Amino acid sequence: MSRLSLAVLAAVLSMFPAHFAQAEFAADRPGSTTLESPTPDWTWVGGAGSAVTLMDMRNDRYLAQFNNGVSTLKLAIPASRNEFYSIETYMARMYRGTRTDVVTVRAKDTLKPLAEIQIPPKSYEGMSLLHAAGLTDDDRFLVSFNMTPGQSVTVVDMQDRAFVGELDTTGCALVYPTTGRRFHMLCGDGGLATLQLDAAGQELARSRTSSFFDPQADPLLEKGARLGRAWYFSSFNGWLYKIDVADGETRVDAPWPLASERQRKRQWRPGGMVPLVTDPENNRLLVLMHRGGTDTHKQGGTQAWVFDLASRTRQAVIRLRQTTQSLHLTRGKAPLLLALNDDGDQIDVYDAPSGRYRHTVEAFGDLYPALFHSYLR
Amino acid sequence: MIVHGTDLRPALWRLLLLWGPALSASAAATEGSPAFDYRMNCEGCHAIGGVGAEPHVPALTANLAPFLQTAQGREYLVRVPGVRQASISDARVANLLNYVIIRFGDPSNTSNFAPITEAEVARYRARPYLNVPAARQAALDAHKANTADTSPGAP
Repeated sequence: MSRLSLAVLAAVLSMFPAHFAQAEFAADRPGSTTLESPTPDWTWVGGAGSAVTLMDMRNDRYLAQFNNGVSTLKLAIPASRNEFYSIETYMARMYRGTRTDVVTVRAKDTLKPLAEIQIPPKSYEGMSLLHAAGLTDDDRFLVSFNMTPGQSVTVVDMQDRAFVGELDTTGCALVYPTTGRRFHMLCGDGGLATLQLDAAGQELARSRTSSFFDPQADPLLEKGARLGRAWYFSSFNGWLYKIDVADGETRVDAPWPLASERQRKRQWRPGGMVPLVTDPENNRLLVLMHRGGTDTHKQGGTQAWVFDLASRTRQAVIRLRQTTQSLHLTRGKAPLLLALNDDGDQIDVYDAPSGRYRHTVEAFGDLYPALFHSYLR
Repeated sequence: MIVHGTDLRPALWRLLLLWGPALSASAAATEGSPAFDYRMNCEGCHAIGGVGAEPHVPALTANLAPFLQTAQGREYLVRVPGVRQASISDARVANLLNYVIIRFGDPSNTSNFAPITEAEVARYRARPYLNVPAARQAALDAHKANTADTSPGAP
């Protein structure tokens, strides 16, 4: 283009008002807003990066974010109150200085902190785990696992917003809530402890199962999935255990294999940060599977296997677009399967259980995401 | 040394002969040795040298003597979850406990102890404690009562 032509083009363009050339840019106005009309696809994403982000996964829409200090994500969402709980650690000088642990009570619709309950500065820190804390089924008590590395749990009354106390649980770890103000803990001898709280949050009963798995030969992945009263756990080699409570007693069913003998020979096994999720609508279990040798249980999965829990049969295989570390199933009649990739920077969204790929969510804020929580319970 | 009517001195000497070399600071933690088992099963929390991380993890350098003189205390040493749940045989657990007592304990308190036996480990190990702090306190109370009983002037 000649110099003359460029000059003419510039003159012509300059005759148009600016808003023809670019879209109107509305200034952000300071203030607060309220989250409205939540859907079952609204999902919290977080991990070890302090930024906890709420996304509408169906529409790939960023909704909100809060900061949870220097702790990994420990979130509990009650069904009966318009609030949620985050167990957070703060150091006086960010990464050093006096440590303070708190349960922050936040409003569900504005995320504003409503209250802060100080707890002993010893809540578990390590790999992001969904089971580092849990609410009793009546939403009354928040139970938070401590590891100093001495093992105990902290009990917090969420109705009165008060610290209740600490229970020694030496030898047993993590928190798996179940019916009747009970929670299970996994123990180092291959057994399970079950603790029950009374109406004041004090220990009412404690029992131990005998050892039902061998921690050396085929340990259990501590990443369990709950359906109703029951908890499901897979062993490293893919044997599925069901833990239930009946007549006040903890029962462990004989395990069954997720993979056939032929599949086991081809080294199919579960792995990843969140490898098991349940689908309560259809009584199904989804398991993140990969091919790998012994002790590859931290390896991400390439497929999600869909099991019918009643018949213990595999119903479908969802071939994942990329290696996946964490699964999540949104709620409702048409749930979505979320699959966080190995690099932690993309979430592939599938229709569940058809496995049809919909889209990929990016830019959800956390540097080290690992865990999902549904916004609605 | 006489415990429950049995002279345990020969057993103690056998133990020292067997594991004496392993007690030196330069001993290699070869697989199956108590030094190896300590490293694999205990050191993660109780730390190098058994110094622990008070108040959360007891120091093995100072806390063992009160547990050695009563049956209740010896049972506690076997049934405390970190010991009971270690994935090694009863014989190795017994060797490991004796190694820890000799290696880290205060010699003025632990030099005259009866070694923990494989039979004791087998007897106590099967049952988990439901309340570990209460069991610990009961063992310490038993020691206190035992000391009072044997102190000069005791009935």
